[in-house]
Amino acid sequence: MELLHHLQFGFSVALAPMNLLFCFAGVLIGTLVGVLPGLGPPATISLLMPISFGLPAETALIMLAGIYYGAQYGGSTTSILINIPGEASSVMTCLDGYQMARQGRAGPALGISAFGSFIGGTASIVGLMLLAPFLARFALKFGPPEYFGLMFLGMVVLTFLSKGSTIKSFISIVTGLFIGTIGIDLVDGVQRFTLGAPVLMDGIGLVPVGMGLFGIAEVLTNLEEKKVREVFKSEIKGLLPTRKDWAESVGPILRGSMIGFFLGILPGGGAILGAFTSYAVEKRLSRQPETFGKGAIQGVAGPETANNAATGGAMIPLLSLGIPSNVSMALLLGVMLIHGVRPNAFLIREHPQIFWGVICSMYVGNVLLIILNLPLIGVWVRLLKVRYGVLFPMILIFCLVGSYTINSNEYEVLIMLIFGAVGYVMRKAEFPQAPLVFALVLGPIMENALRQSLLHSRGKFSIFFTRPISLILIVAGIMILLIPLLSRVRGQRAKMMAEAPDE
Amino acid sequence: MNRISGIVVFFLGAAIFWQAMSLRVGTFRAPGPGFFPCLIAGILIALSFFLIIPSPKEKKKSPPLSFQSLQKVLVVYGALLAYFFTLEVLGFAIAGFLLMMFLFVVIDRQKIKVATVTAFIFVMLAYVLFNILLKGQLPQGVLGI
Repeated sequence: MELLHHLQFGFSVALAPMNLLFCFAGVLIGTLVGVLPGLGPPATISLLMPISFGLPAETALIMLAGIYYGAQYGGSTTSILINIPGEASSVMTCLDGYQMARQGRAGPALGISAFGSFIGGTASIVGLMLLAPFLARFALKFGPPEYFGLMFLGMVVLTFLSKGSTIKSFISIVTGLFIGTIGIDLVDGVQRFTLGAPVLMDGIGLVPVGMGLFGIAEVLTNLEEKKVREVFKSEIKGLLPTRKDWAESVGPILRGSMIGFFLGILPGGGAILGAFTSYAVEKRLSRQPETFGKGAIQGVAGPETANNAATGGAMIPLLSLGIPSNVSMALLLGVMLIHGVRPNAFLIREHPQIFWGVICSMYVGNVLLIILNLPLIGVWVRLLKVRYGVLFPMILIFCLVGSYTINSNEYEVLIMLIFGAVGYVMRKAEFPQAPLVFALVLGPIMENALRQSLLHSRGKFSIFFTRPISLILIVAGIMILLIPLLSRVRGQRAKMMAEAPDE
Repeated sequence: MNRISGIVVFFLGAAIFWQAMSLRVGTFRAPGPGFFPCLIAGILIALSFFLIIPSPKEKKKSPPLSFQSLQKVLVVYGALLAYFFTLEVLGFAIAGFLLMMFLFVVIDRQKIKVATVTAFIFVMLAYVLFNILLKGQLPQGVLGI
């Protein structure tokens, strides 16, 4: 009964005209960036952050969350039609979705991915609604050591899952932690690393860093490539999947919802992991695994459901613990902090309009998305043909103006441009940028948790290992850290064994 | 490439360490403002060695940078810097318009007429959105708008 009461309240927030409008704007922009080249959800959320500062906190979050889950819908369209994943999490959709399109079944592929996304998205919101309050009650027991442990684990998992070198993503994280220390130390009031520049006193903001690393750097990198996007030239007809399509997809959709949701909750996890796992599971369960990669509808339905289900799961640690599970969530956390909302276990009680409002807006958003994506698919297909030459000046001017207006300070523009160059160099040297931004948001919270823990324990690090929850979190983190080391050792041993002469 | 980035990371760590030493590091019992930065610097320096000393397995060559593509990147970045330096003097309307014109004409090779119209529309949209709707205060510059 209580839940119904909360839901009623949540929908009254989500359906308020202003919030409904921004929810629509969010999912629309989300679909758009999913379709357009060279802009991901983190970049878009960074780009729109300055706009969100003028809005009430719940409206801002409703819009920015809309971008996050909306992009998952848009990303599948490009995967199916042009074999380029609009989002990293739609990579798996390329495998069978594009093959389906080549066989003239683009319609059902788009259709099943929209329906799967809707079902997965909605199922995960139900999960979020049921699980988050429970988790928040549990988290009331958390003290600084537990929070430190949780953030440590989150960063380790994020490093582990980033593509490319683990060492490099670790360096990225630590650099982010460092950038987070710039500015006035909140405990002692001492200036740190400001080099005497007034603009650095308040620290380096999330907006210029996000815009620089994701917006400017992305544009600079794209300028180098001469990619011509070939849009699949066949008419898309029959978006509604047939009864046979449905029969084949029901299982993958149900399993994808579960897989995506639970993997989305994991710190550092998120949509990509869910999609990959779902694809692997479906292929293993299939009676004809050889059809995968050749246009099996299960290979579209599963991962597309999972990557949307993950969006609901990903909101859980953010809304119940204040710990983001991926970089987009970290940006949302940054927005909440800027709005003066301290997300933690008390969020549900202290800011019910944010918690229930955002959750209910996700129901509304998913309905809007299926309306936007099915009947209007033609519009998105036409947008696929937008030339990058027109798009990139728009991204640039948005970054330049947006970074200025946060504080009406031109040096914020300079900071953004510097991070643009840093991001470009990082891309060239194959350092991932997402961990840096993630750590930048969490750094100050993490430092605080560390210092408070040590103050509490009078300087004994054992505090992290004598409290059961923090012990589990930190040991889990250390074990994950050790996996690549162990596998390297094992790999070398295997190599030595292979090279050794037969006995 | 890896070795160079390793060296850069090493110096970053060393610089942080050097700066952090001037802050009060404190003790484990009462960590000061320099405590966390020192920890970070230590980890960075340690990690940098993994890159400086290459593992025998990774001998992948990074793709060569073509001068032509790099040139384009540098030109665009230069234009962005020029925008930054002229922003206060010229004001957003002019600096933004000039930047858009430059990008459309020089980088995207559009015809002057088309570029002028598109640049005007983009700048006006940005102005309306940020300065009027969001009540931001973009630099007015010589035009006074």
